[in-house]
Amino acid sequence: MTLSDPASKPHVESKLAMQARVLFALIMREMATRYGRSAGGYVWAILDPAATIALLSFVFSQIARTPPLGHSFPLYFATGYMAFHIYRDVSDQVSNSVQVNLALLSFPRVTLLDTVLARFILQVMTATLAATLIIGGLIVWSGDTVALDFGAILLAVGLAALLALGVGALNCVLFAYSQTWKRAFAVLNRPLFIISGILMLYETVPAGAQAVLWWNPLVHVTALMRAGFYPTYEPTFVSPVYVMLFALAPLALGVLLLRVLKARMLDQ
Amino acid sequence: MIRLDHVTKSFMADGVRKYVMRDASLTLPRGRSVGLLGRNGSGKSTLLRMIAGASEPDEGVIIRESRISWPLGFGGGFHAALTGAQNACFVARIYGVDTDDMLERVREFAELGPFLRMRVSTYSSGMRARLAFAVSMAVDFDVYLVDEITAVGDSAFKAKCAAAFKAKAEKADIIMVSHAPSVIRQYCDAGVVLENGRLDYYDNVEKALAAHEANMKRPVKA
Repeated sequence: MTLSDPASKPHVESKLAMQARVLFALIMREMATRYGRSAGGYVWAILDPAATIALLSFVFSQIARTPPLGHSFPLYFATGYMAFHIYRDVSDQVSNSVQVNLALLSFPRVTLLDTVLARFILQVMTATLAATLIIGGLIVWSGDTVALDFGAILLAVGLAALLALGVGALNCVLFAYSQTWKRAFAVLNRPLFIISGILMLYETVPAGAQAVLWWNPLVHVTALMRAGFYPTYEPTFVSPVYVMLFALAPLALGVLLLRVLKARMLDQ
Repeated sequence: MIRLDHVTKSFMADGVRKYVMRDASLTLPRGRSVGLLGRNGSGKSTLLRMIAGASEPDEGVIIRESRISWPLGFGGGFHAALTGAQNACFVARIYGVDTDDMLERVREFAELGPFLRMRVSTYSSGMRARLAFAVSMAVDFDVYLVDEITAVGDSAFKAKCAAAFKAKAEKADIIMVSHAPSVIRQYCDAGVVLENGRLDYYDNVEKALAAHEANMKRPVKA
């Protein structure tokens, strides 16, 4: 038996490299469990939102002749809905990350925060890819005039992702402790689809409703996304700072709770 | 080297706080394989999990200056919906082992045949244990933490595990929980005895076993 000497420590590596490796391993594992199991797999990540957009377009084209922006109903709904979808899809996945991955903690290298980050990265990539394919496809297919403002588009995607991370980071702790809150949150979020500026533009609703809707950060996100495609649309009400603050508050609280409750969750 | 510095760990059971250890300090030197001895429920497995980092002390710190395995002996972290090979690759990635290397070594050691490419949910408990053990042996640790490894597998597999540990003994140490003194003697040269929240290190495994035997003859202190 030999005692340890500095030469026998080839395993020491930077914390950052180890973190990156753990995240990569978790992402590969998530992909295999989530998308590798069912036939179709990844195709559903695109089919699911595409079907919603198709349904909305069909229904509203029966009611109105033209959408509020441009000429194509599918493109109008896609630019709003996909921004919302990035938020919804990412926050759903992140919210369940701790509950689903508790068994993984028997590998001390994997922390709860790693499982949160891995799901966040994978789902942002998946949802953004779906958004790119759907909106890109609709631009080509509809022939509608668009002027891409990549600054606005990236800001919209970034804010949607940040909101999802904030809400998800807090909920992943709360969901692990309270099934009641998990149910209540699902119920509370059901009308979100209607009040997030996907169907109607913020500018077209009455002033009284505007005063309330303004506080929903997703209204800012969907408007910003549309401004990135429609050159005539200039949503002056949008405040990226408000959305960031709305996201950072639960993110800070969630990360804090993960740290404080770490010891307790490990022993569950 | 692994050092516990004024570590306190407790659990709540039926509204009563039960201390596993109270302000305990301990140094486990490199080059010694250590058996953890104590009564049922005295906290041997908890100590092992704390050394691994899979559980945290209430107070105090644990300093690890070696590459330490996760607590072996169960496939706790394996995903039932993934194949044995996929699970092995996951562990290879988090510990920085080449995935092809890992699969080659697992194929050889676990003898799962075509099951390696099937979901872990289809495995028997013996097969799971073989996979868990093969995966951990494919990663080179300085210290292997083993929890009741003898409870699983047939005698042929046990012999294989013993041979694998023997081959590693040149470079690696073992910290082990087992109820069987014969197993402790086989693998360990030192021992730690847990009793009433205290940790006592004995550099000689026979002395540790004797101290443990003496404790067992005394009634449990309330």
